Amino acid sequence: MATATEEEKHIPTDLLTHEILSRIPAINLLKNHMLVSKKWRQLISGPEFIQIHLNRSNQRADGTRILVAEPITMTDCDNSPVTEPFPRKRFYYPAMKPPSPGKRIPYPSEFSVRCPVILGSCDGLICLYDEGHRKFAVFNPSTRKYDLGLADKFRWLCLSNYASWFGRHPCTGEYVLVIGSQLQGSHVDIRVYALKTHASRNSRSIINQKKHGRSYSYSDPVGSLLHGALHWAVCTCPFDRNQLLFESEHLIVAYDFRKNEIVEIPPPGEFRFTLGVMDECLFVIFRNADQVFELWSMREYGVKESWTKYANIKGFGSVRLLVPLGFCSNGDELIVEADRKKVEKYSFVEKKSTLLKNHRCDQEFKSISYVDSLVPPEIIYE
Amino acid sequence: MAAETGTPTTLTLKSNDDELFSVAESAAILSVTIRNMVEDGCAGGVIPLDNVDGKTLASVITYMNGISAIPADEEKKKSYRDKFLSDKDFETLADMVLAANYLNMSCLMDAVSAKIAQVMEKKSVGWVRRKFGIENDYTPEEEAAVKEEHKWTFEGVETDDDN
Repeated sequence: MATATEEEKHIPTDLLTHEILSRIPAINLLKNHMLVSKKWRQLISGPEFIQIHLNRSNQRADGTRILVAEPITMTDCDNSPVTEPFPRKRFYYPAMKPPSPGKRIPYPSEFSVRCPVILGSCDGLICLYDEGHRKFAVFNPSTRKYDLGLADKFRWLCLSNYASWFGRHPCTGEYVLVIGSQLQGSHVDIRVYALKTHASRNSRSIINQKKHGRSYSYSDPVGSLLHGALHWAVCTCPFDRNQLLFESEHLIVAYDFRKNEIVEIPPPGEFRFTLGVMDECLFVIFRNADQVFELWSMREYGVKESWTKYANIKGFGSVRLLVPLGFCSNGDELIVEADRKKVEKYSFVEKKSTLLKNHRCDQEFKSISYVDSLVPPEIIYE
Repeated sequence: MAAETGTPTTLTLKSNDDELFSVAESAAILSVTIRNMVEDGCAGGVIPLDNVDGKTLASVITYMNGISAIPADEEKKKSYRDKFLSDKDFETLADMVLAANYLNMSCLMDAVSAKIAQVMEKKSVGWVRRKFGIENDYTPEEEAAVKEEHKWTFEGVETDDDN
């Protein structure tokens, strides 16, 4: 007992950090491994380790996590299903407390009690906007750290029919917030804000802006990045003055960062759909005439003829819109949000879905996927 | 290139406690360190592996033979690796990660590291300190302050209490 050190193993530091600690979820590192010694704490808090850990999380099959925003609190869930048996009937349990997987996370005290808008997610950070008090926050759910340095810098945001995205600019690597909004008249206005400079000035720091002579309504506001461009699933309703009618048209609209250009890409057919990226290809999910959801992927970017059916997504009979949140288990499973009320995981192998998160009473919620990371929210200023 | 003849070549490996092991060259070259020696033509006699003891080398060779017998099927290789590591204790895993690093065997390295991470994930601070032979250099006040900083992590999370 006194000579306990004889069993000790001298694993070199870089092996320990690169290969071992980088595979441990953030919560365990914060809870246990930070407390091992001052040296371990220093290693785990260092920017180099944080980057290695983020890269590993991006590769890990279970690295994708889901944050669900509801009024008053958020819930953080991993992608393992609800373990307790749970009746699937809607409205069955209105007064009882449903079993809630994951953990409740409070919003910053600056926020109102309304459900905030989720603007985007990148490197384990999520941008939130509270429309009640007009506050903006960057949040890391894995460390529960907020940054409110930009809290009052987006007070004018009008998020009625909007598009958004948060992430690293594909050309410069700096953290940017992209907001697409409707201007007066009928055209879309896309603005790219550099968050670093947005903090330091009084004026807005728009590094790019593009106006476009069409108006869109977005199926899901959060865009998907592919080949240096953001993509949104939209519907246009141009008014035909000659025929006095609205003709709706479904499209993918792409904003190219480098060219500062808006391009329209045809979807596989004329129906309301949602959009995502897998294996470097755009994909869409829509409900067919038989009420079954289909997933199609665009094998060759921008080529309409290359749309190919990938799979049916069964078991969502009464659902109108399925928003893809992310893949897990090496692409065998897709996490989807159904009508802003449920988060489910669909297995393409077993062809069935499992419930990850149900709505509370009849409140709608907002959800997004993020990766487990130790990245501090203040990194947006670097 | 040493192995240009059609007959299977056998290599002799020597551990740092002077145990000798025979292993098929096709299996042994999973180790980039050994493959480089073979390609440089220094594999004629006995290959000394100064950083690996006999017990660990025996385990590594079992793995080399096992995994190279499986055709190119990632699923099967993965389940072999899981099974191979399932009964190994922490000390053995630590020896193996050092051996895999020295032998430059990336597939074994990844599997063993992931296994160690999985074992360590929910272990208590005391367990980690003991297994890694680390002295606690925090004062009780400092330790309390670090705990306080991440207080929320202690709400409703269970730790495997191997004290």
